Amino acid sequence: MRFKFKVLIFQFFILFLIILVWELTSANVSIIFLAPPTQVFPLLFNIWYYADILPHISITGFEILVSFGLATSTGLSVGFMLGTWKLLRTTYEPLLAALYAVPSVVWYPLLLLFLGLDVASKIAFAYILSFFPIVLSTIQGVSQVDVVLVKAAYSMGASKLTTFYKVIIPAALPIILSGISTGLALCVTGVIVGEMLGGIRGLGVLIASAATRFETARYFVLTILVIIIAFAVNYCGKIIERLGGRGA
Amino acid sequence: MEVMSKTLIEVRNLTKLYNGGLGKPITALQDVNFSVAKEEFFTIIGPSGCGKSTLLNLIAGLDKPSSGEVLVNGVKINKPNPQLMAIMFQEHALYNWRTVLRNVEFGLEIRGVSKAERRTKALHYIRLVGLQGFEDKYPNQLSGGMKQRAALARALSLETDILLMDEPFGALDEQTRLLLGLELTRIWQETKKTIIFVTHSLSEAAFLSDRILVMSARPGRVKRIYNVDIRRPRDPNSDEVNHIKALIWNEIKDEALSMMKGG
Repeated sequence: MRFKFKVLIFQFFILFLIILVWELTSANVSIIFLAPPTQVFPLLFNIWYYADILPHISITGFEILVSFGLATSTGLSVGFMLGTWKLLRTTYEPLLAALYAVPSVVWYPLLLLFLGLDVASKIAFAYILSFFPIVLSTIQGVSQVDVVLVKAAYSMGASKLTTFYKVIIPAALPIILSGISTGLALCVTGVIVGEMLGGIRGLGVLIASAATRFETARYFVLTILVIIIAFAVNYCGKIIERLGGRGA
Repeated sequence: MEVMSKTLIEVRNLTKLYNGGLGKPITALQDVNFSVAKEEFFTIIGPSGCGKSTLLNLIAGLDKPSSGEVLVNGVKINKPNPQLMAIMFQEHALYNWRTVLRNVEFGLEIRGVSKAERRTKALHYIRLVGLQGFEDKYPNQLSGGMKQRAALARALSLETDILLMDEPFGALDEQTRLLLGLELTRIWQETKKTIIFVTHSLSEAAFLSDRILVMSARPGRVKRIYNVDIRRPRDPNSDEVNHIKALIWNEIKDEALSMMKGG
């Protein structure tokens, strides 16, 4: 407990230091480049300021949820299929791994062309980013389950299906969950980057427009909102990983 | 006693070929014949790589023979039969996400035994292997010896007549191995099971068994079967046990050497 408290103190100290440096620097720099915290924070805590921002936040949140949901469901099903079926795995896993290595941004212009500037292209882009870590870790988790665990289950009379959900899934769970957690983080990146590169609605669109108009204070407020969302998502990811519990 | 006891397991002309990967099939086992009597402690020993584990897997029905058959009570085995045989592996094969208690309950759960009944049985066998107090621990909180005890309790909980053990204490240190051997003898006598025990340890074989089957190097064949007529309880360091050890070693020495040279 004492140790945790100390860590918290230090974390606040760093935060305070950053804000201090920020304030001091902005005093000597044009407001076009850097808005001082004294200007940003009042806006950040002003509820009325969000009247026009809130709908965009909910759009961004919606995109994150939908793309993450799609990536998780398809990633898990494809992963389970390839993980248990050796022929499919040997055929397609190298392909998936190679695609994962491609910088996904190269697909984005194509997605904009096909799906338009609105929500759909963002969901598709974030989906591509988060699908791969989920499917690859599921394949890895399922195919690397110790054979003796499976053999033991068969010897005790378990059917293939029972063995799958009583042995293979729980044994693979920690690796699968860490893939899902990575997928979630990449999904947020995908949505924000997608919006910033070209879009109609969403937090990323607002950030991009604030930056191009040199509305520096607004830019910082929005950026801090993204940071808060990222922290929240990261925390969710940690909780997801902890669900794996004692398995190994 | 040996003469009167009745045959429970019969292994007939068992042969197993494997795909060697280089096009040439490898003969793991060739024409293996033997039978095991009811309530016998039967040990299979041989140089590593001689096909001992393959043989046990075939008896268990976890693998299919290329030719020949395994009969239990005259009925051919072609798939695992958890009503008849329980198996214990060298790796504890416990489920890390389940407590000791729930690991021991696993087989009964698969069998569809009611919750209350499987709890009672599991607790009984946990006590029998000396793990009381550790019911709610997870496998990675246990020592190697305790994990094998838990695995033994899980195998016993199925209450089968036959217990197959594939180098169950092979990964343990000598002292733990000796202690568990003693306890296994006690449990075997209490539960009146028929045990087929695979090992590469001469001491274990000589100390535990009623009969010892010595296998030849690849392809695995029955080289010789020894009767161990030493009264129980046995002393692991007695002259009689050491005498048996020496006999088996003489039989096995050249085989082990040929395996080592890659013959």
